[in-house]
Amino acid sequence: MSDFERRVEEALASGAEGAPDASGLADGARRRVRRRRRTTVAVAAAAVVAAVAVPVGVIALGNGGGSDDVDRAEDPPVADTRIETWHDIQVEVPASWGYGPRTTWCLGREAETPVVERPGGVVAAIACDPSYSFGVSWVDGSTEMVDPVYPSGEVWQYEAGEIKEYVPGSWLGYWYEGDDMVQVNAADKETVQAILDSVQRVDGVDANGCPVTRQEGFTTDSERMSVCRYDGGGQLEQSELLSAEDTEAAIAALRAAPPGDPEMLASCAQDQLPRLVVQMVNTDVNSEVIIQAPCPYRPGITSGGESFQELTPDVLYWALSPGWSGSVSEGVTLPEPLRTLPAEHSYDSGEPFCQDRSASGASGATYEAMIPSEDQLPLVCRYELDWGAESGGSYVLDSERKIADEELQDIRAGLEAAPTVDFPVSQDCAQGRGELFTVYWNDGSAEVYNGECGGQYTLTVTGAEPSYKATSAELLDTLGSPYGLLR
Amino acid sequence: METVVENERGGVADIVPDFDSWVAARGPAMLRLAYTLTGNRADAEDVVQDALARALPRWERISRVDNVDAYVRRMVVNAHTSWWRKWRRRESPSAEVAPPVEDTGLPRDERDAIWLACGRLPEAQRTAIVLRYYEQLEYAEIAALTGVREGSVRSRVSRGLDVLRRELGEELS
Repeated sequence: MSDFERRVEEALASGAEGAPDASGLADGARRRVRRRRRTTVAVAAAAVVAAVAVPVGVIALGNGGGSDDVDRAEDPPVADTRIETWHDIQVEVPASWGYGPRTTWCLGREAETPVVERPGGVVAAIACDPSYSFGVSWVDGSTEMVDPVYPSGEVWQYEAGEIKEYVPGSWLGYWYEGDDMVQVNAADKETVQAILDSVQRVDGVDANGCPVTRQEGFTTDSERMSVCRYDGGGQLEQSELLSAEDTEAAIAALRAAPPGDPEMLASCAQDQLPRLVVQMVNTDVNSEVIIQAPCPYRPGITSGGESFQELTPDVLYWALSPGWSGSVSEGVTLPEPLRTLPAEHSYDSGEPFCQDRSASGASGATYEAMIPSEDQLPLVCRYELDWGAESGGSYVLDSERKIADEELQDIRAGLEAAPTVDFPVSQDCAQGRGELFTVYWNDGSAEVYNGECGGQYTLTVTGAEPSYKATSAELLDTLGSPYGLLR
Repeated sequence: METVVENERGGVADIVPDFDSWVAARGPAMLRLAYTLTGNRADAEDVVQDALARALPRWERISRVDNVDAYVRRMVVNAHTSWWRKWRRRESPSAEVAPPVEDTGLPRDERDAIWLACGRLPEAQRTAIVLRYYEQLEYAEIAALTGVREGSVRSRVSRGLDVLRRELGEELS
């Protein structure tokens, strides 16, 4: 070891002595387990919405107490299993399994009722006991951690410890590859094993006939219609293969949709990609249903990029596969009922979209924020700093509002115009007080402090490294500061 | 409190620490590791709390792995990496002021300079440097822990040291 390496070693050892006190760590972990579960949130919060968030509770109510397999009396006998895909990972599950978050079972069903859960979407932040119901879920390795104890494919019986995560005595297993993981929990070992054995990474088109990445104008030789839902990045969120009868009804709905203004399509193509697209394709039809779009035009239906039709509830009925949750743009009328979550999976938690930053970490000064899902954006959260009894203080959520794209443009312009200041990353804000705004948009976020912290400053987080900018009165005016703290 | 259990590998009795005992004994070390990784006290707490909150529900299993410390250390490093990926570097106002660092052989200014320079390294290089020179792990151990090839670990450590030398005005070796 060189002299320089030895000095690095000494400096790190010396610096590490400044680590915080470890008292209360175990209790803090327990609190976090109880509090956290899943942190993403639920339910429309604001009246000013450019995009109408569709509360999952409404979806469920709209289903009229039906189930996720709706009324398909004319269908051939239901197969024993069905294919579910998320991104490029496909899995075969029992056809009777429903949809929904595994962590919210206690809001209306039994823990033994299995569901299929995809990453993202809106999930109530509640703590059921045990934490998870039966079911299968994908873990998005880009946003969640994977710490497998066992080899991929192993199945074991769950022994409940101090905190019950799963139904005691149930069977667990997971498949993983790289950062991606599929978790399975069921009453019997054979079911878990069969599902794990079915997991496969798809290169190209999944078993429901959907490309795992969006391909405009892709074709199929199947008479049954593939319904393929893609996210804003073009990755497959969900796929479904309609029966022959349902295909016929879906084609009829598409053909009945009235023509729209093609100029709207052109203007969008020059702007941004739509955020939520469902491709409905069979041998006769090749339609893209644009459900949510950020650019200044309306959702609609395109066919081969040439025609443009109005989006109708009848088309949405088929485009929104069971289990779908999310939002649609303003002006889109949802069908009644939806082919979606069974009533027993509904919830209406009233939880905010903005994250609670008030009580994580032993000092209370840290945060447990999670960027809201796309359908909740753009979003402004306002917090007040409460020193309270805890050292370090905490930010308490005061209000939130979903904002229009125009307002977001004003805010971002204000952020860009603000002068950069030199603020050491390691500096503590010993005098920090006042209010904090967090602004989230599709591909970035910013934090705007209205307080005294190394002088007033704005912290923008738009890349791997933050930049610090002086907070301006104009920016605060744009964000809105109804309480006028420190101003 | 400890529990004697049958070892899955050979029926030999092991001493399995319960969660609280393990955290009481090893929590401070995990916090120091997290602090060297994050350079920020609040973030260090957040990272360790996150790792422990993930470990707690599975403690029955984790406590039986060959090396509990190494397993949880990996969770801490993962939590740091994931935290970084999700939230980037962010400030959180705090009323706390870091306690003064105990005096050691190096001049105060140089220790501070190295510490701060480490904090400015790219995340992958800093993680490699911390695991190598703070945790004193072998390259192969770092590779296993971070999931990259040993050659990449060596390269990260080497590049990180070069950056540190440059920042401190040292001759590059």
